[in-house]
Amino acid sequence: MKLETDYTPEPIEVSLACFTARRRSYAVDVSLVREVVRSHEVTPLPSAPDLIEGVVELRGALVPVLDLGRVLTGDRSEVTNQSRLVVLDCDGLLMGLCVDAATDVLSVKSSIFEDVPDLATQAGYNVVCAVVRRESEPPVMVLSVKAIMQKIYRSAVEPSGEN
Amino acid sequence: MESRSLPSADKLRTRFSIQAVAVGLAMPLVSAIYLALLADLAASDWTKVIVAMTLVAVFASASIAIWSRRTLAPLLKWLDERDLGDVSMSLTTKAFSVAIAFPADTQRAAMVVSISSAIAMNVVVTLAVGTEVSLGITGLAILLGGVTAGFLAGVVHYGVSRLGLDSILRDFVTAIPDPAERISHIRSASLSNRFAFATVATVACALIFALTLAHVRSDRALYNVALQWQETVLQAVVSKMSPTGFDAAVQAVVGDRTTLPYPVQFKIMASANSSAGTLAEKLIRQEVRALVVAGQSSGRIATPNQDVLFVFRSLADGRIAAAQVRRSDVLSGAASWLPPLAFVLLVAIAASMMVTKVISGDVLRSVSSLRETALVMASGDLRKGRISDADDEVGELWRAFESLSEGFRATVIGLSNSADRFDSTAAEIANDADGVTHASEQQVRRIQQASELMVSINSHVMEVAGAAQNLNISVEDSSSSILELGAAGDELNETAFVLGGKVEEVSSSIEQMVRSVKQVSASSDGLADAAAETSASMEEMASAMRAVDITAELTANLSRNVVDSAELGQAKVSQTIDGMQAIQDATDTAEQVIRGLGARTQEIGAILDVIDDVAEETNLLALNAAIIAAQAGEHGRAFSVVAEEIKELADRVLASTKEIGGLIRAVQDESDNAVGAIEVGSRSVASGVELSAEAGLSLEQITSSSRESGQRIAEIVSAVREQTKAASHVVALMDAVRDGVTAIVSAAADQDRGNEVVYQLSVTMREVTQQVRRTTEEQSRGFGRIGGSIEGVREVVENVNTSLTEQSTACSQMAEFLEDVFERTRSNEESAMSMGSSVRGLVSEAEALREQVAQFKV
Repeated sequence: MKLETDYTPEPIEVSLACFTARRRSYAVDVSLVREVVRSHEVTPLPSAPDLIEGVVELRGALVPVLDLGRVLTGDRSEVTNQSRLVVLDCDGLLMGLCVDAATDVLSVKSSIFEDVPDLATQAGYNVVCAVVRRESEPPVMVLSVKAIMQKIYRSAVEPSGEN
Repeated sequence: MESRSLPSADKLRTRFSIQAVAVGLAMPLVSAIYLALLADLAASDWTKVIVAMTLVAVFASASIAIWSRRTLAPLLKWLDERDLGDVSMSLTTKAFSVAIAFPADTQRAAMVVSISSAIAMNVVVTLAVGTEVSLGITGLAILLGGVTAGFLAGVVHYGVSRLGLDSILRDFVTAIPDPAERISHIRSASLSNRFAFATVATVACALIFALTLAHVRSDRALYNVALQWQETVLQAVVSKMSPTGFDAAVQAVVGDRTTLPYPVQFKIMASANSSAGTLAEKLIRQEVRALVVAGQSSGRIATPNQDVLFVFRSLADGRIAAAQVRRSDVLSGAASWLPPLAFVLLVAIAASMMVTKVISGDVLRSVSSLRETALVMASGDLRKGRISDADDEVGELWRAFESLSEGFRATVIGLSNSADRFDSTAAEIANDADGVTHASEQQVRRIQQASELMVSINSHVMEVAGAAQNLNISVEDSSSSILELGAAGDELNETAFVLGGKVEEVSSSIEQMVRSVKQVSASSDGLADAAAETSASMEEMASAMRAVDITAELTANLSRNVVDSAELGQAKVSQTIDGMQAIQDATDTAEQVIRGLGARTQEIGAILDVIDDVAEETNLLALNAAIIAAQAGEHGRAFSVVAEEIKELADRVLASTKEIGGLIRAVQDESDNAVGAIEVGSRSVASGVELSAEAGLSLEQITSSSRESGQRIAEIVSAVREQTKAASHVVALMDAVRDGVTAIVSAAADQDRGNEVVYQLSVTMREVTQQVRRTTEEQSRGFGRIGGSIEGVREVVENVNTSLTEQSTACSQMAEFLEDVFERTRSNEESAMSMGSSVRGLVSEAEALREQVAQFKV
């Protein structure tokens, strides 16, 4: 939650957990990541909100699972040997993101964050809160976990209006 | 019939119990009414009678109910089992006979019970009230009531039971479909008996009651008159009674008693309490006392249980004056009612019986003739029988039955006609079917023969084709010169023969010439020339023969060479086959080795997968370590470096395994290729072995045919040699001839006489030599012609060969086709046979049908 609440213009060192979904690189603040595990078989949750694929059992706890590819692009991502489950812990609320691959941990200065264009944010877009450019590698889009959670709530309210 | 639900056994049981109780309780009501109408009973007697009646009614109801239940037991069991769905036939028939007999049985039982109850009640009343009651009108009333009630109860039971069992009886029509069996279980009852019983019983009951009632009523009127008269007389006696005495007053009023209508007794009782007198007097005294105590000063006593009519009057001094008359005295004046009653009863019963007999006889006559006609019809005789003239419902039934039999007759006639037609048609069909069967059998035989013939033709054609093939080979093998030689030899023989003859002639001429040698002129020069020419041509021929001989020798040598070469080739071929086998073994081994190699590489691939998994796991662990290190901030920086290193290491391992995997896949592809190539090679080797074997076979054939042709050529060579020898001999002879001619020439200078002959001979000789020349020319031309014709022969043989092959193929096809046709015909024959048997079955069916129909007489 640091990105949304404690974001200040002063350059501080930020660690980002990077992963790919639908051939794009995304990242979340590493403090939100509890762990990264191999993909588990998901048990569907009857009558769950549209974006929640189901639950997996992880060290005795039931974790709701989202398909990140589906959340972001609407298309379900294929499960491969590289598929990973990034378990997020947002203020004690566990949530598993199904990603195509977990790549690495990136330490960057917050000063190199680039904002999402105003036109997008003013239109209410808030899923990607910043972009980090890298040399000879595609840019990393920093995701807002809060926005993703809002998306889930919306999908629960209007289950079929998303796609 | 419509299907209706049957009543259940319980329902039926309840119904018959209720019926028994209702009828049993109604019965004493009828008795009571009779009793009330016929007899005068005191109130105390009524109570006793009603109690007795109730007891008897309860007994009768219970016994009827129990009896019904017992009798109906098989029917109830049948209904129960029927509901469960499993019914045995014996139980069904038993239930049926029970159901059929039940109404009549229950009627009889009800009557017996009612009448015996009435008798029992009479006994009870006798015990309760006294003998006087039971023997009198009251007893009669009870008996009459019992009989009537019994009759009514029987009728009611019969009707109600009939109604209750109606639906069950209808159902038995389906349960026992055979009417004959049903009839065997029905106890037949005569209609006239039933009518007679009903009518007579009704008439008797009604008449007896009516007559008894009339009699009782008339008796009562008489009693009333007597009582009134008694009262008047007693009144007069009492009014005339002076203190002098009662008897004097009686005397004064009545005077001489013989003039009175009834003998009357007058009595004066001191008080109501005196106890002297007979039992009847005692009873009367009791009643008088009761009446006086009740406050009556005068009254009548005419109770039915006393034989006296009694009037009394209380006197002022407390005494009671009474007058009494015997009932029998009152009734003795009236006519006796019994004889006329019996007469009327008998007449009524006889009349009713007669009426019943007449009516039921009428009905029975019609019904029995109807039954006879039905039985006659059932036996198959449908001819018109008796005609009923009855005008009632039975007559209508008769006429309906007649129209039924008319329709049935028409149907049977139609059926008979149809059966006849059917029979003839079936016979025709049977004939046709037999014909078809026969024809198809013949066809099958023919086709079988044709097929066998075709097969033998085919084999013959094959043989011929083989022979033609051989011929062709022989023709090709033996050169045209052989044939030419043959032809030339023949010509030569002929020519030599002619020549021989001519030479004979020449020698005889020469003998002539020897005798006239001197006359031979210079013209013999030409002869010498001709002889020389002849000799020369003979020489030429001999040389040609020699050339043939040489050629034949050469051919024989060539064929020997061919045999040798073929044998050599065969040996080489077997060597080749051995070599091929060795190559095949080697390639098999190589293939196995390469396959083993492929399996090993796959194992390596599996191990690499494990390494890959471990590396990936390590990568994941390193990532999680990096995340934890990043969360630890500054403290985790060193740790994060280590995690990064581990991650890189794992990445490198992954890259290496990927490379090895690629290499392994390449090795697997290569080994697959090698296996494929080896398989191709081994297939080629196998086909090489096969081809070599075929080549060996061909070489063997070549060897054998070459040997054969060598043999033939040797034969030819020997023949040619013999001919050459003969030709040389001829040449020698011709030389001798020429020598002779030369001698003749020298000796015939002066020959004159033989000149002509010799000239002629020389002409002939020239002709001969010309012929010889022509022959040789022909011979030389024959070379070409025979060559051409042999070519033609060969072509023809080839043509024959190809056509034989074609014929053989055609024959095979023909044989197959015939086989096919044979199969079809066989199936056709089977169908025809089965049709024949079906038709025969049809014919027998038709005959059976006709027999059945013939049983009907129409």
